[in-house]
Amino acid sequence: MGPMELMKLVDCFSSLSCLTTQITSALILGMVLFLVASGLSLIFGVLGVLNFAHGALYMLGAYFTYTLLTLLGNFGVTVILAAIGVGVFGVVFERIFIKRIYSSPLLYQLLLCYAFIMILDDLVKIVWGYEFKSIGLPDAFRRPPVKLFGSFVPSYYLVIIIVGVVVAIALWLFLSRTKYGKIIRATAHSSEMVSALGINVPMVYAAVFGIGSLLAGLGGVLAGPVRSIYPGMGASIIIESFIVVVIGGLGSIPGAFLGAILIGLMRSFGIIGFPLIEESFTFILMALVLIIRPRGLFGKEEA
Amino acid sequence: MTRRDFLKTTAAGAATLSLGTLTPFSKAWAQAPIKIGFVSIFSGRVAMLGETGLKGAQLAADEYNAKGGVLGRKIEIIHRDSAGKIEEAVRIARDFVVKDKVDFLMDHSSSREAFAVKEVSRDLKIITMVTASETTDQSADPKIWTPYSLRAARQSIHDCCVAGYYAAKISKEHGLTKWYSISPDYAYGHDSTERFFEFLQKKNPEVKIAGQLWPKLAEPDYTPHITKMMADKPHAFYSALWGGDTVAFIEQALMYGLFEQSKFFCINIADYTVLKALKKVPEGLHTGSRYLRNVPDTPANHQFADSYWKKYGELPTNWSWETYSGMLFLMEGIKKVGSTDTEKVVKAMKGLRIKAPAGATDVDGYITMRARDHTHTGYAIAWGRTISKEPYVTDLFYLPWSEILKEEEEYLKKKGWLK
Repeated sequence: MGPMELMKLVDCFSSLSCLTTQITSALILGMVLFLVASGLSLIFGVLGVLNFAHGALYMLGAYFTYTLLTLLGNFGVTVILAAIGVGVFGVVFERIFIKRIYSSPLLYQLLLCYAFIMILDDLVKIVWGYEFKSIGLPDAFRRPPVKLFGSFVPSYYLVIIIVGVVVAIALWLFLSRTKYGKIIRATAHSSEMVSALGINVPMVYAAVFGIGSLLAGLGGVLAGPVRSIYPGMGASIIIESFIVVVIGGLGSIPGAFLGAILIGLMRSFGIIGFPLIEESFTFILMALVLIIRPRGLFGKEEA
Repeated sequence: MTRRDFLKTTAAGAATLSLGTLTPFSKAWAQAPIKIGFVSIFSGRVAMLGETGLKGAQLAADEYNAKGGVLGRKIEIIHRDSAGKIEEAVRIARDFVVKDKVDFLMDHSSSREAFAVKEVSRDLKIITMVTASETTDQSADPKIWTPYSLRAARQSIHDCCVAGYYAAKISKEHGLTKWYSISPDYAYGHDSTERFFEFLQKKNPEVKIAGQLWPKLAEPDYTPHITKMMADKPHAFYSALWGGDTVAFIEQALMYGLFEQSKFFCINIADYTVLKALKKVPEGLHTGSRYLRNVPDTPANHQFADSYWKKYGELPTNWSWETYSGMLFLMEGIKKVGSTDTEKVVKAMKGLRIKAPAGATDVDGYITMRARDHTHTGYAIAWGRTISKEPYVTDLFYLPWSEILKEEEEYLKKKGWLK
């Protein structure tokens, strides 16, 4: 099947409609992945914590959406409330648990986060039930796909792409241009120094963990209506998010953005030319980055 | 009285009260219960397997107990979660036998664990009723066969045979010759897809496979697969995706209008878990019946669905009828020989015919534990077209069991499993 499939890839590159379809398909995968991975990267960059429970926050986002959408019926309000809800959960989680392990060995982080993956999975099972659920597309988006350069893009996916890009820009501006962003970056660099300047470092930590959680939650909120939701669904996204962070560079938001889109492109074009090994391209990309540029595309040199 | 004492007393009181209401028939069972150890998955993505499987088995146990039990003994089911881990399933199965002294095992696991639990069954000479593993090899491969492991579950060869015949009929009617497939990338997905196309191409040689996609199990996003098929424009495609994966795939494909371009044949849509999770069941998809209250459309099956609904407030799943059937085989086997002795019950179940909710109408509503290989036949399998309202599937197509068994025999001979 090889050469024939390869021809399909060549054909696709020479057709505007195929290119558009596959690029948008890459962006859809990429944006959800970016939202989750950027939170992961931010938390690691500032707090030095590898939050393995990040996938569980993504799951919470989806379940909050499920309940809020049933209660409120308004999708826009639901998106905002559900994402904030996960952010608040993140702050509480950080204040009660995560803050105790900042100076502990990595193994403790792993154990704590792993414990919370199981606790949250079971909580979700108790509250929402063991069966998988589907939120279903909000009615406003139940319409024929939008026509774009001879290809079709579902309107809901356009929203996901736009939200992803807006969040990426907002996050970047926030971190690089505002006073709070500066404080966060300074804390990542030297928390003692920041503390000596009279800034409440624990509060910065809580805020960063909250923002990171909110981003993961937003990923779950937006993916919720088009994916199936079930206890343990976080496991499906956490590995890919880690890969994104490795490719983009630990702690780098632009890196996470680019890394997520690259993974999306690898998969959407990989399946055209190499349908049997499409999934492996993600890992090949990661391996290449690790060989050629181990600190990741935007990663900083180890001090 | 301190606050603590007050709480303690209240709690104790409440406990006593609830005990009182929980045992309204405080009938003393003269003898020890017949104990069944139920091993399955109760956590994570496929928790549904264990939960609804156990409900089916428990419903059967309750019905027997209400009639005074079996041999005057109460039926008791104890269950444990293997979390889908092979070594855990084996450990649980062994513990059930050695520590809990169960009389029988019910193995309601995926095929991976089921193959391992089968060895426990062989080793400890304990009857295991296999109620979820659909892989044909489970009972057909003589190298791993043991008389103590019996199956009351669908078998993929039966399922795919009906699927292939049905798809051949529809594809001839509508000229669907260019086919694709999208199935989960593990043993079941490959096995089901391969068998399906064997039967389809046998019955309609015009059919060509233009491409095959293998997303990983629990893939959250099928957009690349969907756009690939949008670009390649097959006339139709087959899928062995199941559960939440089916739901996610359908929701995502709908957004692209994939089903308007290509006819969808999915073996696993018609199960209430999937149908209920879909916000709106799309019309015109082709599906096999996992469990529907009208497949078979018999009073026994409707009554089963009603009793289940009355007890649990939900409809049975594919897994509920399988465990329910498994319990019937065990209990009727025990009754037949008046004993729970392993060898005797195995012998009693050989060739046992039971009127059951799942029994297909062309075999008079009977399911049979086939003597040759200890796997059951005669359960209803249908394919049809989806509609958005109950009963969700219409234009039901059945293949007579005589035909299914002929095809199965041919396949087994080709494999060298049947002389």
